[in-house]
Amino acid sequence: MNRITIDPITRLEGHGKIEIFLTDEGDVDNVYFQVPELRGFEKFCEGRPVEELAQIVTKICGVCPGCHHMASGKAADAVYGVTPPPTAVKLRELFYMAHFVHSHIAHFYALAAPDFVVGPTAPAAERNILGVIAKVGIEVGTEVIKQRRIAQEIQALLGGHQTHVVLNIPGGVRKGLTAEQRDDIVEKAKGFIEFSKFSLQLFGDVVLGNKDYVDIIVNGPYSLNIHSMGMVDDNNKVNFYDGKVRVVDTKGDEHCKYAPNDYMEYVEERVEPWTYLKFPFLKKIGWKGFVEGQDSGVYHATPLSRLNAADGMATPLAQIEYDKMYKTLGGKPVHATLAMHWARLIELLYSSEHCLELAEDPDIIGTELRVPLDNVPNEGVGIVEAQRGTLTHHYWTDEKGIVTKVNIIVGTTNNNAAICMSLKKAAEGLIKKGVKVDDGILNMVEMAFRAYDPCFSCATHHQRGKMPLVVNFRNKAGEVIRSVSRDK
Amino acid sequence: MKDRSNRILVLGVGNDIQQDVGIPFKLTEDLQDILKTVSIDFENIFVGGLELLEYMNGYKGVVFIDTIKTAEGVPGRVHLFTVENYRETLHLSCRHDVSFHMSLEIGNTLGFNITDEILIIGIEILEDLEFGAVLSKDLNSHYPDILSQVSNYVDEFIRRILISTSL
Repeated sequence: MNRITIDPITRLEGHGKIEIFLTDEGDVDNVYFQVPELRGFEKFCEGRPVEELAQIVTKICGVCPGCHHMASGKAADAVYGVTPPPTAVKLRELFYMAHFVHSHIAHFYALAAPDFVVGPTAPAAERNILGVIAKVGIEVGTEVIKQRRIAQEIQALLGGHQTHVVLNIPGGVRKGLTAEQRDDIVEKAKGFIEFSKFSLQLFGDVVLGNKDYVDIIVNGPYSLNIHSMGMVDDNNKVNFYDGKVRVVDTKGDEHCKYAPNDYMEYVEERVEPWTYLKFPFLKKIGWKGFVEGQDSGVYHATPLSRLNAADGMATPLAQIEYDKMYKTLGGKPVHATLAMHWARLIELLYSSEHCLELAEDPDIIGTELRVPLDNVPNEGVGIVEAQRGTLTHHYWTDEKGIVTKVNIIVGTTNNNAAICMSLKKAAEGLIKKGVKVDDGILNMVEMAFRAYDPCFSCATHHQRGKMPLVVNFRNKAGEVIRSVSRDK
Repeated sequence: MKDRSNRILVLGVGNDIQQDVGIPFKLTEDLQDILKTVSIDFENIFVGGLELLEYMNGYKGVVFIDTIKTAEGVPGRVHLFTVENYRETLHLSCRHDVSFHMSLEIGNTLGFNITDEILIIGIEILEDLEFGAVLSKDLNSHYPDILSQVSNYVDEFIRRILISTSL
């Protein structure tokens, strides 16, 4: 049996490896997506006061600090059995919307757009953000950097620092917002909305306007018929900060809807011997293997799954785009993996609109920022939607609030099985006997996981300094018979 | 924003609860006591890539202090790079957006005022997966020498940049 290795993968956060095993005929026999590093953050948190965790967990990853800060803050609230006052909740959400704007802009323009704007099989040297700028113009590139910076400024203002966030404390937040600061955010949020609309227009023109790209999205080897997870509000609309986690099945019917405290009744984690990253699955169905379909326990937690799991968006412009996406792609739920990019842009618009809504809410400059902690701390769960999927923090403490145990299910971890399966389908569709496995083909295999925006720094806590792509072709004996490599 | 046109930025890049990966933060803190020049700004960040552009924009010179792992792996060894001979340290590239070189290229393409006077200091560490708020015993034993070397390199860089300006 022959083997192709892609290690480490490009354009994702952290470190991962793809092993593609070929039959003697040159077709794909099996694909393993491995995360060969161990994550250990949960252990590190033990013995710390629970109120410190919101600051510590921001350092799990420089890309997703705000998500861990929010989940941690909510878990600490739950440990103490308190609900923050409305102003505190809205300040947290305002911070979080800016965090989403910052992250989603980065993913689309730096990671996703090179595949579509420049082209999936374009030379690797051009298939990057510089190639995107060359295609769409310097002014767009400038606007990308500017809007990211503005989003960072809002996070730094509210959170004390854009990465080392110190906003949340059990029962509330550390500081409020002045009317002058609020007015500034209102103007910035209006800019986010315009940029989000532009980004969706760009996606429409470049991707949806190209028949070949639409064909890749809809008919290519990039569909996966699995269940969809996402947090929803009381009206079943998408919500990133609070609500219940809803899962719809492959047909779009509700499988379950649970409060954060009940997550262990609905989600279980499986361990495989060939990777350190766990495989969460739907407990009531059970683990049936890496299989698609209604009877499978595999789900995904992504921008697309969030839209699938919800009945709509909570803001008007995002709702229009939501309706447009499902109308274009043939109704709900959508199982086209690459549609995650479209869904991510719809979420960018939602985040921008909600940022403005929150900034214009009179409560946002309120002065009641926290509630007293009168209860004996014990155990609590906090769930938010991270950019990369549903993020769960579960803390246990002693009666003094010292952490005794931590469980974290990271967004990317939810998608581990789905990523493996998407990669296999892409590889099966693209690598066949007689097909030359060149850089373009390998990139199209990588596109299958890139859509998930995986973050293995979070999921395993590891970073590497260099990201070459190495492909080894091995014969039956496992010997390398040909090797292809490229630097990022 | 204050005028950066005649100022130097010393930027520590790392993670202060990841044991030896936090050494750049400790160095920038100690350098503030050693290098009393008013023309220096000190900052610490977690990730590189596109994030660097806003930090670098407009400065006369920029010094990055990052950690590095090489095949030789002698902990505490201080490596010096320029943009031209730089390959990779642990954090100047961001896996979630772009590499260090590409971030500079993007900055120049988009009209950022990115200086050519860049010094990259890489501190060799053995392990980047251990948690801890203090340095490992091994690296800590080398710390006085590391600080001394880094201080000299930064001082030399600053003198060259600022004196060449004043001339």
